[in-house]
Amino acid sequence: MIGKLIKHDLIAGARRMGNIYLAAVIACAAMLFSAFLKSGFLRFLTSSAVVVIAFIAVIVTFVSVVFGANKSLFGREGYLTQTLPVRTSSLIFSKWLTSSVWVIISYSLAAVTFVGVAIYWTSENQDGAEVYDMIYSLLQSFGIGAESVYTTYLIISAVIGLFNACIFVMFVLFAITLSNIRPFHKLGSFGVILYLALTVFIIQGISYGLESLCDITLIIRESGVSMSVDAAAIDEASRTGALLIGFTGVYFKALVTVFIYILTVQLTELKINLK
Amino acid sequence: MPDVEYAIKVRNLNKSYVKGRPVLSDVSFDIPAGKIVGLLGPNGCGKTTLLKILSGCIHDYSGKIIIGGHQPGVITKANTAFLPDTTYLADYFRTIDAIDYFNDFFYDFDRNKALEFTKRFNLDLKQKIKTMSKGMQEKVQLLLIMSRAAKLYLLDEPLGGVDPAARENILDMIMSNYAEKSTLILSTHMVNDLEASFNHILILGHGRVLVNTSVDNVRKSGKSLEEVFKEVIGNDWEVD
Repeated sequence: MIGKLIKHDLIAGARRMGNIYLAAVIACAAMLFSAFLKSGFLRFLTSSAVVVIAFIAVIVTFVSVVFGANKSLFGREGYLTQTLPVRTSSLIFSKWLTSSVWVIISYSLAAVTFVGVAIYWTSENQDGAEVYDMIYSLLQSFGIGAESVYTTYLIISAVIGLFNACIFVMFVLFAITLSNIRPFHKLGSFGVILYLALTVFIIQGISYGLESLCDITLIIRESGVSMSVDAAAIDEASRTGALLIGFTGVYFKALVTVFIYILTVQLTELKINLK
Repeated sequence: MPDVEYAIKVRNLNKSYVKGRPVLSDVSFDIPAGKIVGLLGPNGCGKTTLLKILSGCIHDYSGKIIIGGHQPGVITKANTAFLPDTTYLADYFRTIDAIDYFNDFFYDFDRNKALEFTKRFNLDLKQKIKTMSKGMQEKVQLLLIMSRAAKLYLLDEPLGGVDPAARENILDMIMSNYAEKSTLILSTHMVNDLEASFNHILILGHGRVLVNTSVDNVRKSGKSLEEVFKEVIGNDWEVD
């Protein structure tokens, strides 16, 4: 059943967000087509449109996740989803997974678009290549090591970024659930924003606190990636050109997300009244 | 008697949306399996709330509910077909999407039967639900429910938005298509139209069970359902 839920939730997401992605594809095609034209104005116009649409896609995806989850779980569509012969945990998991997939797609597309447009512009003039050289020289002047270290650092940061996006989606689902439960429902849509902000604020605060107590750090060297909690080793690695990524928050947020997921399921099973 | 011999067993059910104003107050009743039950009562008496609780749409209540030997959950949902009094299909659904959705999730759904119903109701399989009139939307929802061979049907005002000409057809469709030996609970204000169809009645008033008896018992008293309804509801208003 979980597979069917995921399938239908993905379809629902595609129906809601299809238009904006279609617009993005058309804008990209127009941008590529304009590359063959001599008009600088057209090139500027189409590439700007791509950037704007990519940005809008991220916002639309997020708004769609919030409204879609609220409508399908606790709105009138809830009369269908809540009467399906599936566990509440499966319902919530499916919403979380599919919403995360859409958020990851939109973030990734936006990132690829921004980089693509930057390359598109800089490839047309020599200034672009000089800018890249300048950034690389600047990083090296700070004593930061090889290119492979940057690449690994960027990949791990991107994965953590996507991981955080998935965690954020679970916080959103929790905030939506809370805003549909007495007495928290009184604030309406504003409640979703408030409960989300409070959740993020509290979790982030605890995360920072934990980092000062136990700093689990990912050390990225040319020779490979390792993890350490030894402050001296971390300092030493930093001095020898390694890049560092704090990992305490990642662990903590992963655990909190599991807890929030269970809490969201429990609240839905015990406290929800469909209107 | 073991719970499983009752289609529905409700004990001390309490539900309120606003503190101090109960919608259902210490409601207890049994409904034997295989009955066509008329759930009657004035507006605001708790009929819709009761059906929502039985269907698993409301979780925040106190009391005990046993449906076919199980508490409301995955098993009861698999065996219960609920028609709420609101349009609940997603806007982007076409009729065929809704049919396929039900076919995916409900083991007792008969896709061919649903397709036959669409022809009978002159519904376009490719038409989006959001572009349909309210009456057409209700027909789609009804055909989805009646294409299931459920053990329990919960229909909340299925004739509410239907014109008198179509009412008879809808009623005929419900009565001739619900699965044999299953229990059907139908909430309505139209006591006269449905009197002949019911074999059990449950009348709610001010959140309490006022009458829970077989239609045979009502007939033995020499009164019509409408007379009993007016009598108990009238008394209930006077008491409160």
